[in-house]
Amino acid sequence: MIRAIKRFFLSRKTILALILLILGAIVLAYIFPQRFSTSSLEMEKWQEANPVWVPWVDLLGLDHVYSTTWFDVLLFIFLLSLIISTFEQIKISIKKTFGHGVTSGGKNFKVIALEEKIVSAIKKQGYFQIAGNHATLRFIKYPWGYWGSVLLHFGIVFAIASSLVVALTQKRGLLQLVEGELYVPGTAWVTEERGLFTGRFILPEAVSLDNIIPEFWETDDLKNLTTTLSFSDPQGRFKRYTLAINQTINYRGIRVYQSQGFGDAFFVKLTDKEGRNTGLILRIQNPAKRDVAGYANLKSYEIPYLIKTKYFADADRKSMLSTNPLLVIRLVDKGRVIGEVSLKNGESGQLGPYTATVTGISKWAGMIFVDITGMPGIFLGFFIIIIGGGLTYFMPPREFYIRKEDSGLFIITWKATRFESFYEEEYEKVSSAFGGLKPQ
Amino acid sequence: MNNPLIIDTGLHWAAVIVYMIATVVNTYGLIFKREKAERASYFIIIAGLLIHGIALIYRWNIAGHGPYMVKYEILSSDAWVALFLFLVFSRIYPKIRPASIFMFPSTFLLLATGLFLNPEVRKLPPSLKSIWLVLHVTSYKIALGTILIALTLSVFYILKKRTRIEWLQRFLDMDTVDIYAYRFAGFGFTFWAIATLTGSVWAYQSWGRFWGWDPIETWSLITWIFFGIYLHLRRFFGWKGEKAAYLFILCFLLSLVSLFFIPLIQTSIHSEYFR
Repeated sequence: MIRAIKRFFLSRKTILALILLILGAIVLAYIFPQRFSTSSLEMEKWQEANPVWVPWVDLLGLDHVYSTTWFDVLLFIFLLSLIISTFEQIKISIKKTFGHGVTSGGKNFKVIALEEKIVSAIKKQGYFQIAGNHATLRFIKYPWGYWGSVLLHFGIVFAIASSLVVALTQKRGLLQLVEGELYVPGTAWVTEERGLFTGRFILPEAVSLDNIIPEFWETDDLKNLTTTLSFSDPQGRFKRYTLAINQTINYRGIRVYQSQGFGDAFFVKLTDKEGRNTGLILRIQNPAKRDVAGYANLKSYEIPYLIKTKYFADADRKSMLSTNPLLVIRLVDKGRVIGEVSLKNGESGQLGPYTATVTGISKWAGMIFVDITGMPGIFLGFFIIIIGGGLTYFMPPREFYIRKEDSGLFIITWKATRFESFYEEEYEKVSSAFGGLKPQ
Repeated sequence: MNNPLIIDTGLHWAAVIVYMIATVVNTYGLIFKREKAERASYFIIIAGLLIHGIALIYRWNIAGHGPYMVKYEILSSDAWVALFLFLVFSRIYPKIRPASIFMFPSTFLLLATGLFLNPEVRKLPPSLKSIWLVLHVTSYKIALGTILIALTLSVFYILKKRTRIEWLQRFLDMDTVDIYAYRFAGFGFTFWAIATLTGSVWAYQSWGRFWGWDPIETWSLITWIFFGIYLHLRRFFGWKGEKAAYLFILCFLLSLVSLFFIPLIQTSIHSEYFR
């Protein structure tokens, strides 16, 4: 029974089938929008456009393929198969490297010469004398090439196991703060991801965003984005850090990344006909160019309409760093635009049933807080895969055997594990060193 | 002549012209069995490679970053790396020299395609300022170059088997063409893996995530798995010859989709480039 299970996991057909199934899962995740990378608005839109697929999506979890049970099972079987295969590969590699080898097959020629001369000619081609027995001397070039496959398998196991550790234990949270805003630990993140084995992601201390400094090239492309953060402990002590894209900070084991999301935050007051006020903060992504708008859609519990917004960095379209941006707000009710207004700071205007006023403008920026373990394992796994692949394809082992016959003749056999025609020159060089006796 | 873009495109056009001459001389030498012409074509193409190299350095200088931001410079540097690799490999493995009949025109077509696109310089966004990005991009370019060589050999195999083209029959025996195609596919697979690794280190450095399933990452992984299946089938299922050649052509088409088409049609963190 155990032997049959082992045979199943080691079968080349099983491995191929598993690879194809994983490939199929990746393609499915590409075709169907995934929750982790699609906004709820876009998700709803997709479901409305594809009602036929919705039951299948719900049944098979096609909108979150990588966190479905069936995908985890598939990955687990693949991992199991790889682990068993790695142990088998180790046994095979030990045998191939240190065993007596198999002299059958390959090319050979016979020669009458001093053994030392033959050995020297073979060693000159970069071959090492390894193992062999009393009747046969064995020489291998690149014996470590026999370990390429082991490393390749081990690297994949290591990378997958480490990524599982990361997936199960990671904590990740995105904050989008306006200049001067304080985030209190334990309050909601903009988005939060956490592994199955972890609880809520709670920062050890409060954090506030002190300032945001975007810089632009003359082409309006973003040159750099720098923010200053302050962590404050319960005693009221502040620790200030500077964060930038590609310049992270490590605070008490939590790594903080500068998100690419930033822009202007518009403080808008909506007043209805009864004089009731509703305050909104519209955080809109910075426009790509001075004459192009940045966009954002918003649904608020207090407003029964979809709020569509856009803004230009400069009302006069002359600068990316203007203090005079222009905001355009649209109210949409069931796909129909019921009001639109363009406002600058301090201005008011009619927006459908409301009077809208921009009461202030500040900058906002996103920061990603990450608490994970296991990353070095993933990179180490990748590195081992590359070493394994490199050894397998760039250093295929080649072997010479010397066997002495009773007549005093030496039979010299040569073979390569792979790409024989690439390396037969080595054999020819040794054979020609002994007068080019005709190979048999 | 004060506009640096005119000098830049001028140098690139000069390289295209030299490449075209080399291609004509090379094709003539190979088809009509004129060894002198074939040898001369290598001197001409090396001259073209030098001019092309100067053009790329000039471009690097005016753009302030490596050639990996806009289609024009990406295609140009892809062409340069592919040709450079072919020349190096044809020196190490002289048997693959006839592949020049495909590699030379591929190079100048890649370059010429780039020249018909907008050469405007785009400034480097901050997320792309990383040594890991340079390694990531370089590895993909090396992978593409070796995959192109493997593709040429796979096509050679099919043509040799399916047609009676006289000049083609002179070059290499079928088994050798097949084994070289296998070998270069292995090279491509390894460099594709290195590119993925360096990319994930870069992503981790920039966003705290080693993998984000963005469309280009996903397609790159799909392509890598396909190359893996190709190698697996060859090694363990004894696939070779025509069957393997057709599968490799499919892998090559997938690599084109990953490298060139997905960045055009989908938004991702990678679409900072090639748009």
